Amino acid sequence: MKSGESLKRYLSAVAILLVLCGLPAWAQTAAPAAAAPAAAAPPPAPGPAMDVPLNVKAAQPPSTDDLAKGDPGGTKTGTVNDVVPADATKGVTLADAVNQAGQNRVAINFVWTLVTGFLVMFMQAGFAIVETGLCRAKNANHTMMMNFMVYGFGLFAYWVCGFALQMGGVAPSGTLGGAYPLNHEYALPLLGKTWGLFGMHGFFLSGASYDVAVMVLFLFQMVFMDTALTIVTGAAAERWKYAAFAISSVFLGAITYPVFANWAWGGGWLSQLGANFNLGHGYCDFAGSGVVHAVGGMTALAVSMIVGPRIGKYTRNGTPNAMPGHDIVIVLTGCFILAFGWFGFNPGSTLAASGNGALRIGSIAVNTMLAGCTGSFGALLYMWMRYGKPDASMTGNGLLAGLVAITAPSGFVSTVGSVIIGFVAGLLVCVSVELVERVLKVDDPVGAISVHGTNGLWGVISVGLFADGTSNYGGSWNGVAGSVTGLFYGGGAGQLVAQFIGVGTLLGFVFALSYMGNWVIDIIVGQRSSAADELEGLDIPEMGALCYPEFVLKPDAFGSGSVKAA
Amino acid sequence: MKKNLLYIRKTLYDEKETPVKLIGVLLVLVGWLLPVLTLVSVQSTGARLFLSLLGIAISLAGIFGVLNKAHLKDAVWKKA
Repeated sequence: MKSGESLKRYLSAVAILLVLCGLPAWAQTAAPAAAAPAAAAPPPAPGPAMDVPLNVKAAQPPSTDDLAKGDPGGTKTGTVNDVVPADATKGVTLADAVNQAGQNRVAINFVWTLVTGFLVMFMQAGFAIVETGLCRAKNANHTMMMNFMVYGFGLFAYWVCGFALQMGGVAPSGTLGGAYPLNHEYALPLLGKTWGLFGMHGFFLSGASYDVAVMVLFLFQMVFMDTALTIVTGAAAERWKYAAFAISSVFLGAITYPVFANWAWGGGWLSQLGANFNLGHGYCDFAGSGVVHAVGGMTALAVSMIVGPRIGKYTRNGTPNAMPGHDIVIVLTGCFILAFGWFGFNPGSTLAASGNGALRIGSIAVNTMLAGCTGSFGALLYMWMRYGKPDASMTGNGLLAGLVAITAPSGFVSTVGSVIIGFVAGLLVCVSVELVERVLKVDDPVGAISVHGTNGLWGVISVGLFADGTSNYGGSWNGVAGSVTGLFYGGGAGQLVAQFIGVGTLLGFVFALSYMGNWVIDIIVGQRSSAADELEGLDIPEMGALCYPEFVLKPDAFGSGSVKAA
Repeated sequence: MKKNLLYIRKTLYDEKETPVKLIGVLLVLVGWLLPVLTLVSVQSTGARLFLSLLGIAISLAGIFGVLNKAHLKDAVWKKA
């Protein structure tokens, strides 16, 4: 009798252990077999009855008296006592324990995705002060207000239709429990293939989209979209009419960004280049060098070309004048905030911290740090060697360039790869700033086109070169089995071609759409503020208040203000 | 409202570079569509690589060689 009870206890303990270690996987794989035709289905394997109450005492949970003594080592907290039974009168069953294990995994992924999304949201503050610090004091209120309200304009547009266009056909998203309401992608059959163009579910987050997983996905994707929007405000700062900025931001958040993001992340045609045309794993952009930064950079280029350079930026023979920002302290502080937020941007893009190879988040975070570090090295060295001084604002831009470039490859490369990618980005941003300013004569007060546009494209290309073939996010990427592998690691040129097609789409489609949209806005409301307003500084004419009212703004040769304490 | 309509008319009529800008946008789009639409007919990875690079070059020519030049013709610093 006594030995029989011991055996029963032992079996119960083994059952609980099995549940906590791996039975959820067993339960998930068992489901499709049940749905198969009866004739073909093998007889179900005998397993433990799911609805029989478990002998929880066998797991030797701590008593309330034990817990009342405190748990300094953390060994008694979180036991079978914390598994919530569906029917309290019945007690904990195997089904309860299995469901709890599955929900725990999704809960870990929800919390991870939300917290990293919150970090990315805080990057708005970083962008705001970097851009404001790089502008002149007389435009500080205007620049800050663009960065402040771009969050609201973008969020609203994205809620109305942007999210649906981007992610409306992305289901199933395994790490977040499915997000199954997002299950309709509009696809065009053309030339014998299907080309996914945009999502169709999730407008206003209403109907079936009123779903917990969809909400988590919305929050995370929304803060990414807003990062793209805030890039443009820097490039067009100090002469952009506020009304035009508002309309342009809504257009970017509602149409331009979501369409490209759908093609890359929402199951659209770019992501299917591997499955449809045997080009590696299709266009791969882990956290958005292309989707977020290059889209912002291309739009910044289009808007900067349309609004034209600031008065005084170029002399009559086209030689550029330096127009330094007013506060290098907030510029570099903003760079630190951005570097901090990037730990949400890249590691958060796994959308998981549990299962599907998501433990690579450690590697992704380290890659992010290293590329930012070597990016600042590259820019510092370039400026020091070329101009004899380690320029502060360009070193800050070097850090950001490294971070932008590693965003796409962060989930696929080794630390050596990330160091090289970051260093090249640091050099590239300096060369690109000079090219944009001196050769192309496009005025970009903060260097956004070079930091986000040029290095966004470099980041996309670098995936096709440096992806080392060790990542494993559930065994496949973009529907192609195996790991993403670049040219330098024996993956062949297929992946690189997919990346180049992504670059071509950013230059050819995203730029063209942004240009046309902003051209129409220019025709209807006018993009550029008046010359008188620009010379006075946009704070009073556009915003009605100075950012630094107790300071005297002393006009210089361009009508700009150097700040002196009154 | 009247002021806005006047602005629209003025912008359209004053825009001497409009046809050049439209050609620029067209060139940018051609650069994108060339490698994408040939994906079905061209199977060789080398040829696809060449076409994708050619497409990028065409788009860059459209952006900087045509569109930006059209904008620079009317640049604010040339009027000063």
